[in-house]
Amino acid sequence: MLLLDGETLVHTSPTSCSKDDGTLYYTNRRILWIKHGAQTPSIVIQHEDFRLQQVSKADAKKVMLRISVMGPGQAPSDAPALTYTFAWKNANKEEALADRDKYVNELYKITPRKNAGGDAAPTGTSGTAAPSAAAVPNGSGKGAATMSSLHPEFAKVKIGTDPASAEDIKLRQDVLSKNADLAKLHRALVVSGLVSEEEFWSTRKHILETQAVQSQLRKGDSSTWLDLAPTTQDGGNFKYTITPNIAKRIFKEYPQVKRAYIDNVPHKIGEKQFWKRFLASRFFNRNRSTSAMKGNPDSIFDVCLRDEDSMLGDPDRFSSQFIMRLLDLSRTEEDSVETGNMPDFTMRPGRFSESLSLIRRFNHHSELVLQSAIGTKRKELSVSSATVDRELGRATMLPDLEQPRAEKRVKLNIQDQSRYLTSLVKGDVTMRSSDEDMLQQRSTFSINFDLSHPLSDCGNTQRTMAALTGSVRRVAFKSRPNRIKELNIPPSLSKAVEECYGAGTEMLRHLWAIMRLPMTPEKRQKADKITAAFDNVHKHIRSTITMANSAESKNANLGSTIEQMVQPVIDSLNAGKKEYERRVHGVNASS
Amino acid sequence: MAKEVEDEDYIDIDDTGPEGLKGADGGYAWEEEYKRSWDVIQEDESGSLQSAVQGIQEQLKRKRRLRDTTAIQRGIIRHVILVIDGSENMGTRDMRPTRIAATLQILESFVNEYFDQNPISQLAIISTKDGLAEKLTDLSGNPLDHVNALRDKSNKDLAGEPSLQNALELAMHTLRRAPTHGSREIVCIFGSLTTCDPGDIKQTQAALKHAEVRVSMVQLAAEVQVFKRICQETNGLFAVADDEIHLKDMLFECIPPPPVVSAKATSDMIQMGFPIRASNAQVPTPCVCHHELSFSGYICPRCRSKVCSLPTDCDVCGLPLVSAPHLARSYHHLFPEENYREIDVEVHSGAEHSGAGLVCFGCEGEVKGAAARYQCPRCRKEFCLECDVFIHETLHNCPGCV
Repeated sequence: MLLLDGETLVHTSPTSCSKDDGTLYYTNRRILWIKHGAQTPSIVIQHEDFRLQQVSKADAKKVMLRISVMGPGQAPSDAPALTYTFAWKNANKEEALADRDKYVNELYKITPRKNAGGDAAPTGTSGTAAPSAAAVPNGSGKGAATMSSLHPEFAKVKIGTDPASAEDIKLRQDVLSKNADLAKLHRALVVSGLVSEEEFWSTRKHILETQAVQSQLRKGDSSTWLDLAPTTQDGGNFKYTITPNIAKRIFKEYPQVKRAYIDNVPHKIGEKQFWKRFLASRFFNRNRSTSAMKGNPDSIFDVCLRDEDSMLGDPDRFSSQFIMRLLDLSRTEEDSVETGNMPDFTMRPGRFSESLSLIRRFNHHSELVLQSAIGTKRKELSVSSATVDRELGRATMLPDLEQPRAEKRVKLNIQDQSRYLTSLVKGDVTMRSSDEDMLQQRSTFSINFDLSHPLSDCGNTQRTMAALTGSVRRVAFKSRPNRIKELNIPPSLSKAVEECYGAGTEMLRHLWAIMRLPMTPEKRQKADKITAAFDNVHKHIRSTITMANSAESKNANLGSTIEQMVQPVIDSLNAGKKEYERRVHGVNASS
Repeated sequence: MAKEVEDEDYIDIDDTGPEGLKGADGGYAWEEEYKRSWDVIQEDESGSLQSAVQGIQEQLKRKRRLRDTTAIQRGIIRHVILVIDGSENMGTRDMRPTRIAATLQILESFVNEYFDQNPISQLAIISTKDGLAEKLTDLSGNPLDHVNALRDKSNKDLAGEPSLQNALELAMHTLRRAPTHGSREIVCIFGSLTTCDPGDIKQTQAALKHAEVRVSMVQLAAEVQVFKRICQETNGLFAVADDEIHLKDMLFECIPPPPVVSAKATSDMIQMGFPIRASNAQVPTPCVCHHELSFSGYICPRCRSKVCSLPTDCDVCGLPLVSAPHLARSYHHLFPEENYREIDVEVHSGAEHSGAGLVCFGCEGEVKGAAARYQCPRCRKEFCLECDVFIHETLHNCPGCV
């Protein structure tokens, strides 16, 4: 393939286009696609003609990339006429995604307008990648020409440019779908091109991390005692439900059932038959008290029954080395000699054979639970007398019988406690006034209720009433609903104001985040870049104001209103910049 | 009868309260075959039960705890994570209507009381069900977020078993963001006897101890040794609730800030902002936390951006923003009011107190004869029982001293 002068190859990968296999080349001037076996490229796209890219969703079956390109003879303001779709045929989906992402990033850089259709992440929340990606550029394209030309400059201020991996993208999608506020903010800032994707997430890393931790939590083994309870249906029939999960738990609890299952299913009996016989067998129903419900003898499961009894009832199951001496009852047998006149029938383990198997199964279940949590570490008990004494000593100290220890507390050291309780108001704050003073004060408020005289001197009641109603009216006026609507701000203007604020706030967030940490040369570079970007925001604000002044609206004072509305952003930007300069030059001055 | 005279000479150990629990014939309780606790409530002459009920209420009030009033260091800026169990066991109907519904209701009042007593602290909620844990709200100081999350209907869907280890791990990860000058706590409400953990919970326990996180738990089912051990190792509270009232009491024990036990807690200086209110009457401006237009708000002193409500952390520069009353509300934990001394009336049956009872300084109501009075040790004014409870629980200042 022939490269032009000054052209360098950036990426290449095997893709297919319109059902033909070929290779896609990405150079610093063009995008080329050559069919396998052909000499000349079938598709040649100059970077200047490129308009829009769209990607398939992260979990779609095929990894695809669609490029919309201006055709020959089209005016610059026409919609792109040609589209090409490239599909990656890698067997390994992760590789294909990573490969395609390389192109996505490159195309992102050369997208002429707002890069709305670029990433799958912002559009993933709406469900379908392609239609929404097509919708957004059309909507934002309607905006004023001046606005759109500024946005690529915003997007170019990149702070930290690691391309996101597939898991990151998925994580971001998850976070956005769960958090409506964040999704709104994301749409307003990133999708409209004010802030790049990486920047947006660089100050919100903690949200991503929490989501990552949450999605990485594993579920452990269930530790409850499995109790298959039937549901009663009409006609007195019982219905047992055995899901694969329950089947797994049964196999874990009773390994002999698992062996029987492997031996018999599917060649000797079917799976349904197996479970039917299991539920009807004596093995399953051995705890029922009435002999009628005890279950039928069954060739497979009676073997299981015998196996289990022999396994659990085996006295040599626990080797004496591994048992703690405190738990080993055989060591204290000599202390439990029969005394008294009557034979001692208490404290005899295993007296009732029906409960014996149940107790053994409970113990076995507990063993399984502990094994799954702690692992099968069984350490040899040390024989040295010191450790043995220590262990026995620790075991005999029962915390319930001890005196509760008082917690160590740290005393509050305040030099002059009364300072906290006095106010800092300067001046005379004595509240104690004498009785005459109080009487005098009260007399100014007193009203003479002697109704024998006509009310001649009403005083300033009218003025007082006017003042009262005026203050109430003011408050009601302030909190009236639809106050914002009354200002009659056209939606394009309010959107513009929002964008100013959004962009300004994001820049400020980055700046303050950098300022909080100790200053290193790279950070200083980043901060310088951010403060330089402030000028863009200022330009945007000025354009918004001019737009307001020239816009048609019912509100005559629209221009000044908008000016007042954006004033706070200007203030915060200036404050941030001043603080940054003060820190930088303060450091310089001192060093 | 002669038997009765003898009995009065004996000290009856079972005599609890004014009514006493003597059986019908005046003997010891163990001499009876069964205790008839309904005998305690007896009608008075006019046939009403009111005096008996009043007597019992007085007893309950007198159980006011004698609080520890030494001035010790407490963690005022707290970061608490609430862990709610969402497993099937919480659907049992031993609490009305189900455990989970009663718990969620009590938690709503807990959240409000918590932010009342600790205005500069933060809270987050995690729910655990089906072996996994999920974060419902992030660490924030706004009670409305949390109350709305608690009211969400999907909390009532119960599934599977809870996982204490997953919940604690997720909580620890969230608490890592909290600054070290604040105290970190986890409060769990569990109703299950089992926990479905992917690994060894002892490791989580060691990690919690190392990070100095205090885990408290209120159990609704029964005491489980693993849970109790975790709470004890981390110096938290562990309780098993009998019923809804007991559950509420035990939960509210976690509201006052805990004492600082760590030796390496140094008293650092923390930078906080006190924003001024900006109310521009004419023109609305957006706030930085929600990007919604509003006419009034608070301006952060450092970065000059507008936030809607306090207390919060400034979204742009991260400065904690509070107002002075918020800090003042936390003071009463550090400088608690001293307990009042109880004065028995019999001691003062001198000439000046004969006849009518004393007038309480707080409410100016008469303190009737037999009721005890409570005296402030500093100003020596006397108060009745209700005023004492009110002063210590709500007012936190003695009216006589002020």
